[in-house]
Amino acid sequence: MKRLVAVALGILTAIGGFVDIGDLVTNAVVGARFGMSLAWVVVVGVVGICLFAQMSGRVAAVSGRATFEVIRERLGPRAGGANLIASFAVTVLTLTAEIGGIALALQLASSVEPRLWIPFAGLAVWLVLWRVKFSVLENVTGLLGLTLVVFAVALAQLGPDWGALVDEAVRPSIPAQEPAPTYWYYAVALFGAAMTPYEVFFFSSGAREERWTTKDLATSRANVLVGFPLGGVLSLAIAGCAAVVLLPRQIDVTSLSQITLPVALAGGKLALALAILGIVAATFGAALETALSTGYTLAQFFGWSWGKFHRPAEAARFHTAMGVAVLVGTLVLLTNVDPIAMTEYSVVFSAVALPLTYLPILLVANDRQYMGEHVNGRFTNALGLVYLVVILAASLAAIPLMIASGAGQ
Amino acid sequence: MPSPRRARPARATAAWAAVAVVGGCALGPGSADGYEARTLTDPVDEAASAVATGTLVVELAVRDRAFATVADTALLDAIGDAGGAQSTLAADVPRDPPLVAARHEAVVAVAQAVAALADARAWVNRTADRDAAEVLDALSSAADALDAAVARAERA
Repeated sequence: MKRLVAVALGILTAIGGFVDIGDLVTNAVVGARFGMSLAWVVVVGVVGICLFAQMSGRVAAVSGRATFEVIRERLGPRAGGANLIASFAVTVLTLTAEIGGIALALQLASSVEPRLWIPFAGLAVWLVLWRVKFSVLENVTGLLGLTLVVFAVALAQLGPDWGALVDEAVRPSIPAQEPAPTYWYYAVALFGAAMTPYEVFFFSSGAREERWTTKDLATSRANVLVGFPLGGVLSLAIAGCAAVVLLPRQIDVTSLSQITLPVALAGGKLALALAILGIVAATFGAALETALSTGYTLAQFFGWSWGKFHRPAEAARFHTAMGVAVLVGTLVLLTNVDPIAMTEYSVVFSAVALPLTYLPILLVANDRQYMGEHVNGRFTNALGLVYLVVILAASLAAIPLMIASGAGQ
Repeated sequence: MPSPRRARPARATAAWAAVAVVGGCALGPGSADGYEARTLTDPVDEAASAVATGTLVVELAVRDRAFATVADTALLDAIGDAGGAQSTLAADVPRDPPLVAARHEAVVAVAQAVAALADARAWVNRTADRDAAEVLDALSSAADALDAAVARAERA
């Protein structure tokens, strides 16, 4: 019974923790502009993150090593160092966007300008990281993030033409008024939003935080293979709400407030309150995860003591690194940079940095010295190789598409 | 002097970066005339999106389906977007006489949109001397003016 509760809790937190500011913004932008014609990218991204999160969790549980410990061992200090710089930069960019997302969500609840919320959001993230246990911070934000299911409920209540929505999703085409580079730019952005590197760092390091062993592999698989796809359904619901309400009105999404309007139309104030609560929880949870990932990547690469299972005094450099990352993100936001624009850039640069994270995981997951009998099976390897090609293509195309489309203008 | 073997990865990286930039530029729009019209229609479209957002927000507020804080924030964001469009248009200096006339119409239409959105925000915050119907009428008129400005820019 206890195990069943643990599995259920893991699945629920995976669903609620799947959506972050990148998924919220990118899915809404895409839904309002392209309808459901980019839904296939969400499916591709969800399958990809399931594949690599499951592999990284298995590597951590079997080898006792988290992602960056493996990257340093497998690639050596020079290549691993280059990997660290790129992954760390993208993770800090994502952390900055998440803290901005918290401030924007609190503005919705209070009408207080985001710049006034930013320092409090940064401080709250740091305090929770310092004082709250790993299991509590993961479970509370994940469970509260489940209120984002209100987007799926709202979509049903809006009474859309389901046939047209499904047809658009399964027979995608580039709208006549949109240039092809813009369509493919947003495809890369959506892919990057679904497969952000910090998710893998967090998942594998979390496996070490919770002392997973081979006995926990089934739980890990359930969390990933059930939780993440259901989280992907939430992403599609956000896009669907935008497609049904904002697209016909020719509203381009440029702010977080616009994303909540379809929910208000469908379900009124109660639904809106749940959406705001869900957005605060999702962005706060993601800020915690990205901040932890900054600490994990640095500490694992340099061999520092790391993990929330140590007291802060026993992992001082780990906690200092996270504190500095949160401070940097907060200070950048206080320069009045637009958090939505920052979010859009973070998902595209996540796509650029993806190969650096996934190639080492794929290599180690096939290495019998680390994995013993738990190496990848043939199906996993075949899928892994297909995804490596997709990831490389997205990574190489991201910057040219950004230039060609004027960052999606 | 760096050894030839060490210089190869750096040269390869620089070559790939150059390909990425040139590749992106090569895919971009080529027509100068099309670009001039777009410099007018893009900000007008942005303002039209802001007016549509404002209209939806006021409708939600009338039906009591949105908190005042959400309505206020959404209208503030829409005013920001319309104001950004206004700045872009004001900075543009088209060369052709038809585009000059189209630009003037666009500037007037976007200014009307900004005013309508500001009035809508005042109404949401209960500081306006207008009622909901008047606010919605003003937004509708602004939307019509923006449509006319886009049509004129596209014909120019």
